[in-house]
Amino acid sequence: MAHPERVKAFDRLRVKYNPMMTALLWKLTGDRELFAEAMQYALLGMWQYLEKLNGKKGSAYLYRIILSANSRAWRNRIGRDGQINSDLIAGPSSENRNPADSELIERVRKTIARLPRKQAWAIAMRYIEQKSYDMIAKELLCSPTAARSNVSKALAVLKRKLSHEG
Amino acid sequence: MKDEKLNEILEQLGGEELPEDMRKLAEEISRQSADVLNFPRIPGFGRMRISPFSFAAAAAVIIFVFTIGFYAGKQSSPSQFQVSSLNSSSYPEQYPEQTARKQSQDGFWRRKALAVMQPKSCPQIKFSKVNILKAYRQYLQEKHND
Repeated sequence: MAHPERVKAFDRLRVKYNPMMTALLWKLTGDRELFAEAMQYALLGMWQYLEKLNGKKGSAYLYRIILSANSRAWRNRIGRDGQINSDLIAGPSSENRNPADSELIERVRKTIARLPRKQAWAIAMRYIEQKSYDMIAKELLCSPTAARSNVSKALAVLKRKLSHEG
Repeated sequence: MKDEKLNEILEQLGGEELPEDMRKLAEEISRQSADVLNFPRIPGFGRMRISPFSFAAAAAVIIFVFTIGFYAGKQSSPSQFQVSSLNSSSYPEQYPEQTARKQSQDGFWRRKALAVMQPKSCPQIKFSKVNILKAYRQYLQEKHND
């Protein structure tokens, strides 16, 4: 695809998916800096995989891009030792919350970012976006049973990781 | 962690509203990315192609220049000042004096430059393996005596 057409296609997709991408990334990050970084990675991913986003599996690719961007932003934040500096977590959404709850929510977010892609995907669609199994199956091009199975596996892994870390 | 607590947290995450400033930030980032990608490129740079004819012409020029250089280098006479200092037992005693005739008519700076370029005469130094060995043996003997 030539550059001008590519730019036009990118603009079209950007306008179309921006609200969904913004909402999902905010829920997954909950922090201004992390959110901005993840957003940049997601837009870069959109540009890189523009052809795939225009295809039949476009929606599935978009989730893949968003979740990769989220994981990357968290990985940059967490660093090599796997420990996050609590001073850095200061999202506006956590101001009115109980500190214990805020900490727990950040732990859940961090753990979701470190889940394998398919499981993070299932959690994001089912719980963060609150979609039905039929919708998940439709977007991921699989059967509702497979979608349900993915979600339950992902939830089990998330629980195990959280109890292991806690 | 209990299932209920985890479900509650996930529900909280799902129900979280996007703050207005974050929406603006996202729009700004999105717009910036579009601006960067719309940046005008150098016309024709991306479409620059090398035709087979240009490629063959460039290769011919390179081969021609290389051949000329090769023959010119082969036919040029070797330098008069080839000094194999490591193998020779002594430095050459006398170098050809090229500038003696011209010195009278040259200017001050030219004479200076030529004087700098003129190889300096060195005292004759002769090395021989025997002498070095003798000196080393003597050194060892002295060391032993000390």
